[in-house]
Amino acid sequence: MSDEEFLARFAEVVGQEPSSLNFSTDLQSLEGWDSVAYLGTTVMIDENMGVAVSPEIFVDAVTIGDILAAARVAQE
Amino acid sequence: MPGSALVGVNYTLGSASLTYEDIENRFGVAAAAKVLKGSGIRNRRVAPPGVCGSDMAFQAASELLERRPGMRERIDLLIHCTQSPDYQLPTTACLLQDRLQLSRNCAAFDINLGCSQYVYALSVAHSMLSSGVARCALVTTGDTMSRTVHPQDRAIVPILGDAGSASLLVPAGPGADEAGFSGFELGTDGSGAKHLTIPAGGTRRPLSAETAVEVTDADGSTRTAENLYMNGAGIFHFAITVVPSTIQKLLAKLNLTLHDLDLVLFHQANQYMLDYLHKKLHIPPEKAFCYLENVGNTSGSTLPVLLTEAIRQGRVKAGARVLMIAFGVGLSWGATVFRASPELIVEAG
Repeated sequence: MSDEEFLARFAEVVGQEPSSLNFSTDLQSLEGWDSVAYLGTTVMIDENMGVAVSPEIFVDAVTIGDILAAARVAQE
Repeated sequence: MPGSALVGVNYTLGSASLTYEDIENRFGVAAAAKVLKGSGIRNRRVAPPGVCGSDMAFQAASELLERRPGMRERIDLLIHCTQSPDYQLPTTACLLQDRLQLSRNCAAFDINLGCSQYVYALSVAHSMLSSGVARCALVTTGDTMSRTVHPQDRAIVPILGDAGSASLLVPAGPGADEAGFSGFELGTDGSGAKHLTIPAGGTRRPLSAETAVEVTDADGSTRTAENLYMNGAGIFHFAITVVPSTIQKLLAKLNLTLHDLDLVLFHQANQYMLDYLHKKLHIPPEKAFCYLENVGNTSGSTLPVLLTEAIRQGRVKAGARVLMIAFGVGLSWGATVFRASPELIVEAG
């Protein structure tokens, strides 16, 4: 899964236009970033990257890029 | 060694309702819509004040035994599953033995597990029947987990319902084509206990003024240490990792594949999770069955409720091969495969 694909899928999860997001976007600035989005993001990563990420990443992550980085680490 | 078979199942839901409108009034229109979208739960059946989990188990068992004359006297094993017992002691199963007028030669004990309780109890009953320790088993479930939740916990109030159930098991033949249990797969990961817990009220952290202090989290949910806490993301992660692997292990152990199953019944946690598990495991609609939209997640009773409804709605026929899997607080999980007996279909129908 490319970085661009990740961003597009993540935008779907939080109900935003992909063009409005980048990897530096602060998660807390997203209105749709809530407990339901945690589940949606978990599913999106599991489906597309084949890994069930630990929920702790949602506590530690500050930006969208942090989530992708954590997912890439989990893949290794 | 003989096996065992389910020959009856029945359930009782909490007689009160917590409706979609109730959730709207308590948490707001947007929150209610979000819960419905995320959980698939519209209405919940909850136990009214004064009703215990054992009362619902008693009603389910009484109805089941009334349909089976002579069975009451044969029962020599009663396993009651609950995490909301009537008393600190004695164990609730002893009280049910008396209320149900079962024999004094009946072993009776509780299993203190949550969502996985039914599969665990079936495995214990199966083992005791198979070994000849018991000859007729009654497995009951009954919880009022909705009462453990703080009324302003917007994450859990909209999810939980209350129910009780009763199941009858008897020895069965060992043949692969005969009705009965084919096998079990059980597991535990206590390192995840923190994801689903009532922190205070036991001996580790007794009730005190400190445990009664209300705290509101970032999502706007309020609770005390005496209330049920659930880390939804943690449980979701647990479920989507342990459920597929457990099913794979059980099927491999039994030399079966998904194609050999007629129905796969999951613990009814929430619809979002169930939809994803069905998709991830490639379970087609004709092998899936859900029943939680107007009931809620009834903790350890979801599987017997689900099985009864599947039979009543014609989704389980005699001889059908069914897989049941439950997972939750502990963290604990269990799965089983069984062939439905003709008696089970008649008694639940």
